[in-house]
Amino acid sequence: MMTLHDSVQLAAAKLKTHRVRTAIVVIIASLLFAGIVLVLTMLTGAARSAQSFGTEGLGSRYIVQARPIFDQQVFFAGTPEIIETFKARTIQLKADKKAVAKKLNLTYDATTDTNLPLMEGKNGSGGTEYYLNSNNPEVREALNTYAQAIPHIAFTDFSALAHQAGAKQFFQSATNPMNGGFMVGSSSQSSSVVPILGGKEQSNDQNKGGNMGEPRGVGTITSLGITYFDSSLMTPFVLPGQNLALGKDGALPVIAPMSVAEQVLGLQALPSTANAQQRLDRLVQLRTSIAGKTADLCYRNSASSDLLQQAKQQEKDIAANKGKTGYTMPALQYAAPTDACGAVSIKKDTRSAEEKKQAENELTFKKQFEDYREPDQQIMKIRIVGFSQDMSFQPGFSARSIVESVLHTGLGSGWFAPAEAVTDGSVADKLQPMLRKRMNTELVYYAEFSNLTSAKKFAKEASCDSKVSSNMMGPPQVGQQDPRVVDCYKQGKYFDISPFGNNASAIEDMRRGVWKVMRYVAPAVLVLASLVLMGIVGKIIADSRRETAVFRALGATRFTIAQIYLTYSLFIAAFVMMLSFVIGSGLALALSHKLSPDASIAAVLAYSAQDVHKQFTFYGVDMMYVVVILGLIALAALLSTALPLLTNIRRNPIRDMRDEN
Amino acid sequence: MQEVDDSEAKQVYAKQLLEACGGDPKLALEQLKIAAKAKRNAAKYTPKNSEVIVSVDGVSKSYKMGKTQVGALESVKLDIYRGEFIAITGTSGSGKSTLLQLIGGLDKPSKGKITVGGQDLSKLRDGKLSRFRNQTIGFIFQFFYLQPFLRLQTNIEVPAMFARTKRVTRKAKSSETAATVGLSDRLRHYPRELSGGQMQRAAIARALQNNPEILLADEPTGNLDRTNATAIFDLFKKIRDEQGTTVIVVTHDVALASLADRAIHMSDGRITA
Repeated sequence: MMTLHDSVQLAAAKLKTHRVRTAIVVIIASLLFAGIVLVLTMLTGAARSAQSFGTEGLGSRYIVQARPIFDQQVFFAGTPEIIETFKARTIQLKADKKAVAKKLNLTYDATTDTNLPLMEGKNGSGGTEYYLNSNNPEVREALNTYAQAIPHIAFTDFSALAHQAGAKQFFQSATNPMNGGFMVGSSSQSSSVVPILGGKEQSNDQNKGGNMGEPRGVGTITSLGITYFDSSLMTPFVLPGQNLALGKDGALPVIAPMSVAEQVLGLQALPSTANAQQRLDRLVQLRTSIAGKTADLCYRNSASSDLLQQAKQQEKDIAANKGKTGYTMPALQYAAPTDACGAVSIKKDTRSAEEKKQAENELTFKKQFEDYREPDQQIMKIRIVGFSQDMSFQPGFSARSIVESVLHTGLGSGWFAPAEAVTDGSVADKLQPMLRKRMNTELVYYAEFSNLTSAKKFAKEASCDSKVSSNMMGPPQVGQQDPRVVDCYKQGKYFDISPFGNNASAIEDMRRGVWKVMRYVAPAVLVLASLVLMGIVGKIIADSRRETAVFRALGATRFTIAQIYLTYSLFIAAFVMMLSFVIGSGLALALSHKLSPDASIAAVLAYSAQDVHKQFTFYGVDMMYVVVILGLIALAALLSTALPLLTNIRRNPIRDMRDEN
Repeated sequence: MQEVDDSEAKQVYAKQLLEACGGDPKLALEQLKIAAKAKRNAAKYTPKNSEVIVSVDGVSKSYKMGKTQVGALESVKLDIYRGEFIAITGTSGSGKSTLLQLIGGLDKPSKGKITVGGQDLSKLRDGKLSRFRNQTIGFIFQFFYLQPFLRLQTNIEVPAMFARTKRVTRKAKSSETAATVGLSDRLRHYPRELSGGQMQRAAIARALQNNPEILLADEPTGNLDRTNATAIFDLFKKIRDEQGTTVIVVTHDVALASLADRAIHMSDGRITA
């Protein structure tokens, strides 16, 4: 065996041969490892940033959130029992409606009636199929009754379960998407909420400033709904100097999307192309300007909304046809309110007594058989005490999507109000879903633990970990059950549970996930890199047969020859190491530089960070992964050398000298 | 000592000599005179006054080429004396290089025994054999085989690296051997900056780096012109004279062989003269 210095000297001389090929191979191998460096550097940075932001918001509390698992199919297709009940009821209603209509001198056609509990249709084989009509109040009531009877998924069930696992506090939240999605028990379909600015109701231009139909502004209250939270869960997200108490003026404290604050402050929405600095400036401006400000919103139920639309349309038509012969003015003319959020009034009624009687009879019929509600409009006073993120439909690789996937926390998008601040009869009360009764609402339970370990243990043990997919082919069928729900119930698991507010668990899971993926990626890269490196190492060794033979003649043992080539391969490894880290870290730095501004804003919003200039970066170095990657590269280099070297040192030097001659 | 003692062998030798001289009888005659002189020189290295350093005893060597066994050496018997300068001649494929490689421990005989400095080479394992080559033998090749990306001094020091000689010691030694071969002013140069003759002298310096007892040179002048070739042979003599190193040179050049103390001729794996 020769000295290290000498083997380095001889190996270094080899580096001077096949320089172009060596460079290409080193670059290819470096790119492979640079990919790993890039991913790990960015994930480490993200995890560290998340950790630093984790001290904000609910970061110091160990809360899990649970979503009750129940078969949503039932709310579309019903159960065989419900269907059977409503078959008879539908026949009865048809007969009753026909009789009442006759009595009121109205025409009734059952085939066009969209308010019956069951709708009929034909299935693929020509048979009759029945569909539940969720617009029918009796159906909604039946489904609510069914939902309440589902065992194990009530808040009390969850609380008892979490209590056994050591939880000390329990909360629940419910979101009522007023106009979106499937509704059961909603009293506010087609209702609207618009801002009042300068004493006038404003129209909602929900897409202003958003991409691809992303909802923006006050109108989001109807599409995203308000989530009613326990105030103790909301407090950490409240801006400095603000509180969650109901104002003396009745203003409801809300955490709302930033675009709402922009709208009520009369600010022009930032274009979707706005850069991070502009967004940060806007955030600072909003935080400063919104402090202590209240805003009036106008709530109208569906009847009021429809009437207002009708009044406006009439005014428009009359104006457009003014002076035109042949145009007949409507007998019943409505007047849009002059006051903000006022009621629609009757401007002129020239209907005949017979027409009035007919209208009265129709109303009587509606009140008897349909979900009729009087027009209702009311001013809703809000006070924005914090910001949530505007909903983003941005697909794929965006700073925000990464941050959200990393953080797993924050309140998310939408409106949030403390359940305690809702007073009887207020608009908020009208918008508030009845917890537990409304199974269509986003009902979520929370349990707070005293430490992370207990919270994680509970989430792991009590959550349904079914591998069965919920996906079912075709539309929901009566009696069809969601296979995942069936599987979860069979396991005795009734909730999907995940961490909430504290990202320590998410970060740990993410790290574990990365290492799990690395268990497969690293060997693959190792093999690939070894093969790539073998391209040059094998060539060098093969081309050096004569030299090896000469060295053997000059007294080198096989071990010495091996030492020279192993030193050479470690030289190659050193180049690969340097290049991989330069490329990987460089790319990570560049990407972090690009993504960090947006990510920082997303994180500031998600955690309602006190310092708006706090940075969320994607650059972080962890010595553990550095050592692992360096080891992998060295291993790849040694593996690439092993086979050609073994072949080489076993050869007969005489033959090699003769062959080369 | 082998001698050309039968008329048939003499005829073969004369024929080969004539061929080597391009059919020029005058040149062949001149070569014969030189060879005779060498024969007279060799008289001082008889078994009576010198120790045998290399003993080749009934050595045969055959190689497998495909399915057939090809004989390279056939019952060769040869003694070489310490401090002797011996040339082995013969046509291509006569087995002269094979004999040299066997003496150098680069290969093992199929039959027979080779003893160098009293050591039976067949009994040495790879490690000891490598050490033997490193310490006892100095190899010189036709194509020099210098490392193109190492300076001359480092090239010369390569055998010392394998011996783990201290850097200071080997630097001094490489400077000394470079001086011996007349390349003191070229130590910082790379092989590509040297002429063919200089490269071969560098290879000789490399062979001398570990003070070997025996120099084995396989066609050292095959790539050189007459002037350089003669200079190399003169250098071998100088080394032998000054350092007492045994020099065994394989060459197909009969004229150069005549410069050695003794020349043996090989044909078809046998020593014929």
